[in-house]
Amino acid sequence: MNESHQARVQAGIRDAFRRIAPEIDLDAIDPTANLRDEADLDSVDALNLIVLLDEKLGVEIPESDYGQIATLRDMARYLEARLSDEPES
Amino acid sequence: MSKPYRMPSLGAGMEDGTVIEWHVEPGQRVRRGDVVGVVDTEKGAIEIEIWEDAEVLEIVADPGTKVPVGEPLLVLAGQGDDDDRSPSAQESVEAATPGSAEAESPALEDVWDESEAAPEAAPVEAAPRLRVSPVARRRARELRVELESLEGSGPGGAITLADVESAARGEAGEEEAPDSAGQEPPSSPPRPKDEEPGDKDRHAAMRKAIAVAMTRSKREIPHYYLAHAFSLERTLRWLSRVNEERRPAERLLLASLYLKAVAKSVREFPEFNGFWDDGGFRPAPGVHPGMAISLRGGGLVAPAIHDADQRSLEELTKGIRDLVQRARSGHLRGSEVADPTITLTSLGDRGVETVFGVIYPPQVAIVGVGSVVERPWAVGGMVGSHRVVTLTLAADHRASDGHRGSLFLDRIARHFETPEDL
Repeated sequence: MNESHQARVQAGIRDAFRRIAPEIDLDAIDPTANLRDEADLDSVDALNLIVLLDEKLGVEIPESDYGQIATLRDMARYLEARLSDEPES
Repeated sequence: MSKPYRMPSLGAGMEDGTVIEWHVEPGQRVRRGDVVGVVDTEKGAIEIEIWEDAEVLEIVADPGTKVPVGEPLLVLAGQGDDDDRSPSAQESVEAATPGSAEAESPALEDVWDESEAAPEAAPVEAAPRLRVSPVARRRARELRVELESLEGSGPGGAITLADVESAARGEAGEEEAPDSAGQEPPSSPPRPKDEEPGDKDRHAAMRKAIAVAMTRSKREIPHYYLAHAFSLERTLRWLSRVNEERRPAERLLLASLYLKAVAKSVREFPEFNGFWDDGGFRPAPGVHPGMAISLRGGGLVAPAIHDADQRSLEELTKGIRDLVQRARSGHLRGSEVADPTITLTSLGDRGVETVFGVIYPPQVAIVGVGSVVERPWAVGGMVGSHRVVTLTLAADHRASDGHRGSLFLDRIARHFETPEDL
């Protein structure tokens, strides 16, 4: 996997979390556990997260793909794959 | 003519608040709806707004001062003098006017959040003139920071205490790397260090405020409870179709449909929208539902979405997103926490099926929505699988009766079932 994509995705997820859940320590979250349960995100937090990821990374996640980003690890993989689909700018 | 700007009452039971910081200084002109400062209350740090165009003559209460509700904070020079109104009445009357501050509530992207250290938090446009809070000015003198060299992150580009302190540490916003997320941003506005109440104190204060309000509710309010389950299948299909074609920022939240359905219904059932005080029911002039938002650190706030009955689903979704994010970061405004006219509660989409609410006095009703669950559901003699939701109403029996309550709940459900008309 492209390293710069990986770094961008990690930074994007961190920034987004700092906005929607400033009180959560992302490093303390099990990357394989259900993120909404682990971080206690409600549906409003979840939409805010998707919006911020779109703004920061330019990846629009359709509602039908929400099931593919249920854990932190899956979310990172999904975003990295979508970034790789784009032509390098 | 000069007059005092007083500590507003931000909800029943509030006795005092502590000034955290001012965003204004003597000689500064303020406009109706401007946030002039931040006060610490048992509901957390609340941004307080001004309700008329005026000029600030004097700051009476310095940061760190605890001020009782109704006591002067600032001296203003404005047109006319209507100071005989109590601050709480003034707040709710003004906030109830359509077009009040909330109507111009900034989009999520523009929300001022000084806990934000990332570059995108830098103001888009430079302030026309230097705006500095007094506490920031004082600190800048102490730390020998040149104010002219700073870009403010406060409202209208105002330079805040945090800007000065970060400049003194040599970490101007621009230079900060976007992935410096390792360090935790402060979750509440800065305050003089010796005044810092710990998180524990804050939680204890909020717990106490909830205890007072809920005890009063259960002691004084004769609640009655109704529940109504119905299929959300049609609504959810409509919502998926709408959201499928939209960018994330334009997507609708199910909560916006719920909010609008309640707000529209309340217009036909005004006995659920208002306050029980002085032994009688006082209907509210506007529809300002409070959204119960649970805070992850513990506790609960229920700030209002103003004039929800007159707003589109898009506006309501943006309003809810903005409100939740600000509730999490401690940037709610005085008008939002002071004047909800009915409360909505949802225990989320991963929780239980039915919620029986406790009314927040002096309101007279709370509408609850449970999580959406898949259930066998009979329609026209055929059983199919439907996504079903249970709406509940807890209402004050002094202000309304069960018959009207059941019609009200049914009306909300009907609006909910026909989202295209909301």
